[in-house]
Amino acid sequence: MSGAETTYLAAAPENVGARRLGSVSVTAWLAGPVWLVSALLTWRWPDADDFPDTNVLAVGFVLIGVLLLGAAALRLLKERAAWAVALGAGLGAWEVAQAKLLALPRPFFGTPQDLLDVFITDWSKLGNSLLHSLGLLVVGYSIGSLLGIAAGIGLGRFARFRYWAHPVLRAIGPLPPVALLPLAFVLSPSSWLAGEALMALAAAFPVTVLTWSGISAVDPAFHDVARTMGASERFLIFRVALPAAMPQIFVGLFMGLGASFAMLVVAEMLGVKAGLGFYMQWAQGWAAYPNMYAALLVMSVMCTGLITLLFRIRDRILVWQKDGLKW
Amino acid sequence: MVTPRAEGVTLHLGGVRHGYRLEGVYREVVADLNLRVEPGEFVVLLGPSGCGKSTLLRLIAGLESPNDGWIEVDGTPITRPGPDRILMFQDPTLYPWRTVRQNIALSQDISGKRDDAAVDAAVRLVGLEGFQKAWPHQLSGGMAQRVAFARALVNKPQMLLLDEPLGKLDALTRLTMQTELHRLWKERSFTAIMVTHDVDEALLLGTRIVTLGGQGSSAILSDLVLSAPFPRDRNAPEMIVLREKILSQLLYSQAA
Repeated sequence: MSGAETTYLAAAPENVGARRLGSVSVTAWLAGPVWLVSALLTWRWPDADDFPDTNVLAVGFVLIGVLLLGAAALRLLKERAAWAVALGAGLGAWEVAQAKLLALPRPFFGTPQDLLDVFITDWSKLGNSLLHSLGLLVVGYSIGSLLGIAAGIGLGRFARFRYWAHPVLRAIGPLPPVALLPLAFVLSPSSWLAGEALMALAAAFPVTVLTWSGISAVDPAFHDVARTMGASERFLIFRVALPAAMPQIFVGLFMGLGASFAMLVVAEMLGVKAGLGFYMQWAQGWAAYPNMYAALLVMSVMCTGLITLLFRIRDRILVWQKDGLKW
Repeated sequence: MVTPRAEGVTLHLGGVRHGYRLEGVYREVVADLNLRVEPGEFVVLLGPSGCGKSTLLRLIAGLESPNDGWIEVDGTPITRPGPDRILMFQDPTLYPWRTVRQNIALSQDISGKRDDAAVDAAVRLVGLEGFQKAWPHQLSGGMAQRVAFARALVNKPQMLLLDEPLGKLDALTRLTMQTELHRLWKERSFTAIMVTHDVDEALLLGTRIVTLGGQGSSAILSDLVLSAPFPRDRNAPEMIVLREKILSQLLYSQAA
């Protein structure tokens, strides 16, 4: 009797493992059908009002459903399966609630096909806005980051530079760059230039402070090791202090990127006559709420894409670190 | 007798004084120090904490200039650090962003003269062939200190200044590393000046033991030449006598 029990107990963990594996594959096989059901509801249940592109949306759901079935067959879904199910069910629920039952107040809440319609009819304008925003952001952020790193090195290693730069940093740095926007638009010959300058400023502040902090925190023994071998000041800065400060510098670059996003949107909403912020402002002015949502979606993809890129670069450069946050 | 060897350099210190200003008060750490070290000697500096042993090594390395007196290597005054005299610290202080091999090649990056064969030789010298691509955080304390030895020796310096290089290792690793250090000194025949707190270590490795101490600032209390052959037995009667002698000297200087 007790022998049987022991066997059962010993076998139990394996059973749990098998069931968990089984549930993953069940979820994976569930994803495709959920999307196909959403497609069927979209297609067969009549719309409550005259919405565009209902059938295109249904076809889109079908395509995704079929792709997910294929992915399940090839065992590609793995732990993302639950998300695939939830997204399909969520979009289906939204479609039913708004396009079929008109459950949420219009026009502030659109239907999935409204959003899809924006991408179909206005994709070139959205695309141009994205390119413009990206251009503005990348130029301003890169310049600001490089200046920030240079200023941080200067503050960390040169007393004379620190004497002059530190009070300036304390006076200007904590000021939200947004507060300088009216002034910048007055002073600058073009709103584009004003936007760039403020975005550079927004990025430069955190990068400067964290580079400085990283450079000053470098173990003095690291310097002694190189100095005892006859290293020049140049070597000490670029091959010792800078690599040692890299983890901190990346924190600054991350914070600076967030500040640049904020500055980008504000600049485009208030003065620069192009870009996603401008598009959003324009859509809101015309009460074109689906366009606003579409612009928001594009912006989210852009921002998360850039943050991901920054983390990839960080992982490449800081490959020597024992462990670090994974984005 | 210790046979003087051709390699290594002569170090000569005369009337060296040095000190620091701490909270507005000048405190002298090294007072009127005179010392002559011959090529290939292994000089161990013993003394109580804060007696200026480490300061002395920094002065010889050229990281700091003495307030008074002169330091010459082979007749040339020292004005700044140079690749002929490498200082090693208690911590391995490897650069975490460099692999083991890149750390060993550090002095070559500084001088701009790459010599892969010399790096290979240094890697073999300390037995780290399989770990060249490892990152420092993956190494044990003893292995990290081996890398530090390889980094110091890669360009065949004529003088090695060792500031308690084995001080932080566990007892067992320490014993193997003492043997290792002795082997490196024999093979590469550099002039070695080592600071330690460990009298046993001094007796095992040194060809000469210089004891520092005194009230306030330090002077040389004793200068012993050890002619016992290597490898040395730490329990040999003459070793025990010497250990007692040095220990009582250190204790006396601390009590004074």
